[in-house]
Amino acid sequence: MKKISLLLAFLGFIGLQVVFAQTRNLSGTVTSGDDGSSIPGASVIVKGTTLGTVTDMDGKFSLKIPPTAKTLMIAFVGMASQEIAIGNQTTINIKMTAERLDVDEVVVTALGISREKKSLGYASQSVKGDNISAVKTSNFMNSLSGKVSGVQIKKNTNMGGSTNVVLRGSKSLNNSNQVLYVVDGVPINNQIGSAGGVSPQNTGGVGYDYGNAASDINADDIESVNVLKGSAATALYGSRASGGVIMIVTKKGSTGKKGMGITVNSNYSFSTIDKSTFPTYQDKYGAGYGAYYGPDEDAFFEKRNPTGGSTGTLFDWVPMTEDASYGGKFDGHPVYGWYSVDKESPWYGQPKPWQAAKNGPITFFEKPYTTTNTISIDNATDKGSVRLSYTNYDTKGLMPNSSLKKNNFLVNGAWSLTERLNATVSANYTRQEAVGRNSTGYNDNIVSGMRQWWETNTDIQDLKSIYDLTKRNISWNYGPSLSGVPIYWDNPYWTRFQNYETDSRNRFIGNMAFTYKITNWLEAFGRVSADSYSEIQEERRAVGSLATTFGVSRTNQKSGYLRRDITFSEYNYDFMLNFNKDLGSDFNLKGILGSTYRKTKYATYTASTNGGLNVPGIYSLQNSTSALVFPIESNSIIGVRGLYASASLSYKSMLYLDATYRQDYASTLPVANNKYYYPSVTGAFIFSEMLKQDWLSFGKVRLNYAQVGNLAGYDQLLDKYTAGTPFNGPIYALPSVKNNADLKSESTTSIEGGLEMKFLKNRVGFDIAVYKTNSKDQIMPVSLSQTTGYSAWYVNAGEIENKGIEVSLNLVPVQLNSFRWDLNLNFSTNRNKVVSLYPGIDNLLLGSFQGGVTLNAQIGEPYGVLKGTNYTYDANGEIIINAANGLPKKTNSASVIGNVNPNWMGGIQNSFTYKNLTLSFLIDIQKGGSVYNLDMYYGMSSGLYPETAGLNDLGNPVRDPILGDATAGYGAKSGGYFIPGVNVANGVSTPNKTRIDATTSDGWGYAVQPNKAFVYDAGYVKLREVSISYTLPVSLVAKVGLKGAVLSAVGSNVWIISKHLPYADPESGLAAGNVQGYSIGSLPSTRDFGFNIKLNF
Amino acid sequence: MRKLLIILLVCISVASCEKQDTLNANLKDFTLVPGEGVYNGATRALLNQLFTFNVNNNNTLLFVQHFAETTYPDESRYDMVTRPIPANHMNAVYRTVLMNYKEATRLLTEASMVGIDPKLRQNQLAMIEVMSVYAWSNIVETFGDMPYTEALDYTKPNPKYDNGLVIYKDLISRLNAAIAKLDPAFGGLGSTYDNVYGGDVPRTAKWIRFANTLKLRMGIMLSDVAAEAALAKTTIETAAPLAFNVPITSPTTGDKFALTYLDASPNTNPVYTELVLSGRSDFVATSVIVNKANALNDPRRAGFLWTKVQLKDIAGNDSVLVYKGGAQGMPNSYNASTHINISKTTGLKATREVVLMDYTEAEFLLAEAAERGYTVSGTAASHYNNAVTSSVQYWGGSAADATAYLAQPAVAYTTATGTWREKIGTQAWLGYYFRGFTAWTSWRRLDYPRLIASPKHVADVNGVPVRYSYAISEQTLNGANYTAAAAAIGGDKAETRLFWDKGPENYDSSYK
Repeated sequence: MKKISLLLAFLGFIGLQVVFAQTRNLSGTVTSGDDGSSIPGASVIVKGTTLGTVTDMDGKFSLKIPPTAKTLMIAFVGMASQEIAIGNQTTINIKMTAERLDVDEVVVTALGISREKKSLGYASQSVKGDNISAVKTSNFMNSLSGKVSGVQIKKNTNMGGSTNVVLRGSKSLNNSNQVLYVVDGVPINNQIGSAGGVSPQNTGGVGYDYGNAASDINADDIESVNVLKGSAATALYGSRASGGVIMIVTKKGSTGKKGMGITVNSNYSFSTIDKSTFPTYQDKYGAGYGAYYGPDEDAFFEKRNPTGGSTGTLFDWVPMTEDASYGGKFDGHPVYGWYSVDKESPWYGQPKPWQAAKNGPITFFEKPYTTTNTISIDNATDKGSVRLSYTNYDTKGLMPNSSLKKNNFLVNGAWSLTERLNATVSANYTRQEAVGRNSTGYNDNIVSGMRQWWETNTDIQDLKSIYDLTKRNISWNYGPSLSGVPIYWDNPYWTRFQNYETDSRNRFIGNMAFTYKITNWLEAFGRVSADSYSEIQEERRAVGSLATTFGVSRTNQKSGYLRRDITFSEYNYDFMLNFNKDLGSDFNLKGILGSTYRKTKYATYTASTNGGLNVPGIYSLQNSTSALVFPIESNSIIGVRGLYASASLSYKSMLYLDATYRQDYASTLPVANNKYYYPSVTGAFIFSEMLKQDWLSFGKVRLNYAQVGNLAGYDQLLDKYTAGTPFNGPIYALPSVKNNADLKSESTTSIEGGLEMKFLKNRVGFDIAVYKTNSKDQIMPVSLSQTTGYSAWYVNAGEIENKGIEVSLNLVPVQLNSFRWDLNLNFSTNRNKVVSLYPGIDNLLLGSFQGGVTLNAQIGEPYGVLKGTNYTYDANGEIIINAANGLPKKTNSASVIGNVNPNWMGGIQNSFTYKNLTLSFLIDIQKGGSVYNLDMYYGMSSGLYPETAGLNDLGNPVRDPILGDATAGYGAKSGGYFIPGVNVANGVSTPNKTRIDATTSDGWGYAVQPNKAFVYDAGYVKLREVSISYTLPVSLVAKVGLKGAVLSAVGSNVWIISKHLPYADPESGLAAGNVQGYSIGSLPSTRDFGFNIKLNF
Repeated sequence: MRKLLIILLVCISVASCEKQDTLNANLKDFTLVPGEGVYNGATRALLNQLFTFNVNNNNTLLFVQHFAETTYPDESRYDMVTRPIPANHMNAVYRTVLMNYKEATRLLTEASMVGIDPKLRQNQLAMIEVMSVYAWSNIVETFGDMPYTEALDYTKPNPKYDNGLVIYKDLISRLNAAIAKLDPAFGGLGSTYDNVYGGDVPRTAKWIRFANTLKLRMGIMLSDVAAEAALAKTTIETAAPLAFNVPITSPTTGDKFALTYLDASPNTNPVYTELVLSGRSDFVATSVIVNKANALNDPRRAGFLWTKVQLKDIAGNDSVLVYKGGAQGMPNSYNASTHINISKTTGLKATREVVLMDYTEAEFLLAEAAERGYTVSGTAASHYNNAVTSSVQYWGGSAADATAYLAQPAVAYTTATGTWREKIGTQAWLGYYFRGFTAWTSWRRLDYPRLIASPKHVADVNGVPVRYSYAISEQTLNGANYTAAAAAIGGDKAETRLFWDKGPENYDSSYK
């Protein structure tokens, strides 16, 4: 922490220097050029100083200026800023004109090349850095949700968890569909989780969501984000960009503004649980699966003496081995339970009244909070500029004993070495440290227990007390012998404080680039960039925990230690010749000839103890009880070399024609096929330049065609054997996936058209894009019948088509002198279809979930359909119910029961500005998409939810026994319930009347319903963000030596206005990646509220 | 500054001229391995799969009602969909076992012959072939028609299903050929790779006995298939004299093909892995087997690692310790039911062996052969007595225990109730304890003892399964061939009887 105090001392020193002599008066009026009305609240600043003021109600200002003052800067929101030379004037009247929105906007395109947005023949959408850094989360991408059309952002609820970002639909059957992140022209790694690809964690196996590596980008350092959506925009990046690119420009010291600037930004946020994303429990019945207990196995309670023995007088005991709430009705009678067993327990040998827990599972969670502090210093001279920034991010999670810390250092510099030679340098170091990420999936996940397997009589605070007191694993879920480890669930506090993971990552991202102006129309550019990190992940299981899948062998281990060491490095070498020449007065030709080379290394080493820890508390490989199982080692090195050319021809700022051509040479393809080529052509026509109509501020049509090649993944060519832990002698086996030495490159072809128009002096504008993308010859492990001896085989086959429309609409419904309302609407819809797979194969398995549900790519269906058992329906679409037992007739598991892709997505952003005060809010909408929820699948059967404990249609408790039957009629006091549907006999449908017995846990959930019943609409409407910010008047802050100050308050994920998934957030998932649509034991969502102070010195 | 530019250019071009072909190499995995090691892994995989208790992989001990479940009785109710058990079995046997046996054969065939006697290599290949036939026979006995001629070939992604009987006959001829190649004067796969017999010369004779016991069983399996009477007869009669013949007189003696496991994961006994390492209490013995063993006063009950349960007398006082099984197909209390003693010292051990075939099985098969009228030495009664005696002693009883047991009228071959099918079937069912597939196949062929269909069963399985339904993955990945096969065997149901299963109705479904 030494570095902070040093910077702060420096800061104080700078503050003292703001002392100037003030010698003469300058005054004037600021008016609107449109109607001549005065503009109050405009800021008037002497450039290069901290001197400034704001205009009064009549638009007048007056200030004292030193003799050195040369330029006056005038700014007002919604108006174009101006700089005016002062000279000898004592009165200056300024007319401001409305800012021309976006038209002259310069955006950063592929390879970091800045272009006027209007000249582009493809869709791109920018977001300002302030819009992203307002809300502090561990991943800046979360703040982009709803702000850009065509981007699907799925933020999950895991602490530091990965965010799934897919642009314009999934294009690859097997490879990553995530966007490529490019920072200042350099692609950076975005490895997801620990293993890459589909790991057991992705499909609900034991594990942690280790986040995605792009989250190392510090939101406070982002100047702007530009989203390049189509292949034409990204063709020059080659294969990795086929999923789209998020171009990030970091803040630089600006050469435009000389002198030192210091910015300090402090943020504090806290979170509260959104209760609609956590179970509501029934409060009528307690532990058990039915009346299966006691000496005759017919009672709701076990019979034991007060200390758990079977001698003497026997009393009711909670059936503690059970993890369901299908037991005895709460009636307050004294019952012995887990609290009575242990001698150290305050309730040893004591009963408690049989009642619903006073402190339910929701009291387990803590109040998360985050502090973020950033200090940045920038300076600029004629010769160059520099910006240094340091950010400290510290968050405490929802789970006890969880935290995530980041420290980020960034230096950006630019230096004119000579008239012709410029150099830039960027160095970014990040260290992230996490403790206690939440375990995800089915086993060993506390929240799965709470959502699926729980006893409603268990008081979570009692579990806390006993853990705090004993520091032992005394759980509510004793095994039959009332000794040793629990049977299915550890005490959750034990899990959090003993079986926690830790991980840390040190990352360096940097580059150095030189630009040499050869002539006034030709320059050479060279850049070397590096992205490297080392990461260690350590997982622990303390002695005394129950056995669960753990370690390298993924076998049941009662205790253990695992460490995973990951090293990554990527070097990119770029060389370009850029030319820019006017051909006559109307034509301009720009061009690039370039070469690029990247070399990527990714190595992992995973080792774990075997058979448990020998000495409790020592987490080291040496503490293994048995000899270690072979560690898992991987070391992949791949290289891609690219040569490319691009030409841009423009005519009179009206017509733009661009073409690119690239050749790649990839190490992952066989020698015969390792070179591949792909072109793109784009055109833009600004017809408003030709029409020159008053009402039309801007109008452009654009059209493009592009192809992008893609290489194979690492090691997909040659077959290798794997070695197993020796069984007396060594063990070898064929891998389950067959490689293919004849692979060739993949190709994605896209066409896109767009129309962009602005009216009424830019107060109304829209941008529409229509596209179609076909990705062919995909390199994928085609699923094989395992009777072939393999589960899959790498082939070039298959095609996915994506078609979509994106619309963004910008309105300024109200613009008065000091008030302005901005409205931005985003809408996008993507239709995705698997056109073909390998001949003879019509389905590719993407993931298998518990309960027999699978995620698939099936021909004719969208990428990512859920399959499982479905209802069967009669001709009228009614569910067919078996009259004999009241159960729905199910199909086999091959029915399509859901599609994880949303129908459409939208965002509505409103922003109101009154003088220095801005209020904005964002509504984020996803319509449709499916999610399979295992919590309801099991949790209904376990009797946790109120649906299982209410009254039936006759007004009787549904858990009461059934009286009578469907043919003879049911008694007035009958329990049970019936599923709406029809009985079909001899082709005739009659309404179903057959009741299902709900006296035991067989009456609900998976025991009764097909998988389809647990597939929910994943759509939502969320009030994603509400923010209010106030920019303090310069005249005021100048008095305390500041150049500016902004106070803001932000609420994020404030309100889920509408959703269909019960008791959980439809966005919550296991991790980013191609396996989506599975909700299991996720943490509840939080509402996050932050307060921010930003000071400019 | 020009210098700087030149240096930069040179640096970039040098760095970017690295040869691509040298990258992408997998330096951590193996391009060539000894075929014996592949055999070792495949054999462990086969025995793990056949003997595991894991409800995701093998439910045969639940089907034959040796075991019931405690809290989650789904698999005892024949649910094979929620957990894709047929797919997991098929995948394990085809991919991790048969494909690797095929690969081991290829590697050893192509391996250098320097310093290797061709006869030794021939023995090695024949041993792998015997194991392959065992695995294939399990596939046919479990599913019926399955991919065979087009299987184990990734270039045929949609292998057709072959007729089960045709496969079975081909397996018998392959087994005959392998037996003919086994030369007792030479060794086998080497002591570190052959963990059953070691690779030494004298043990090749045991391999021949094992192969013939398998052949005997395959012949018996065809004995109810009218059209194959001649094949069954020659198969049984040529195999019988060469089958296992050394009686088991203690847990460690006699003829058997048994794999002994090691102390440390992942090489622990699969039953130990599921019952002890899992830390769970999911299984209890069923009342079906416990009541039968109690009624017969069976001396093997302690050896079966069963625990006793304390029952109260009429006055409510603690009194007797008894074996008391759980209800099959229903939830059961672990403590209140007889379960496996998982104590490390007196109970199930990590290193415990699993028995694929043994003298006991050979004798039960010979008793059956005698009853079916094939020419074998000895009588049905003598083989029955040998089998029961061998089994009692394997499970820790003494010779005297066995004699006493057999002396009981309910056990003695002459006086035990029912037909020979019932007598042999009942004792074989007890004798194949822990051996799920063997017990299940024996029960399906002999149709005894009469089991009881689960009182609560899943909607699409109406009785005790007599086959695994086809893997769901086949419906999606090999649909046309799947549909044809399902039609050919008479419907892809768990109740569809396979071509060799011709006996009387074998379970009582009237239970309510």
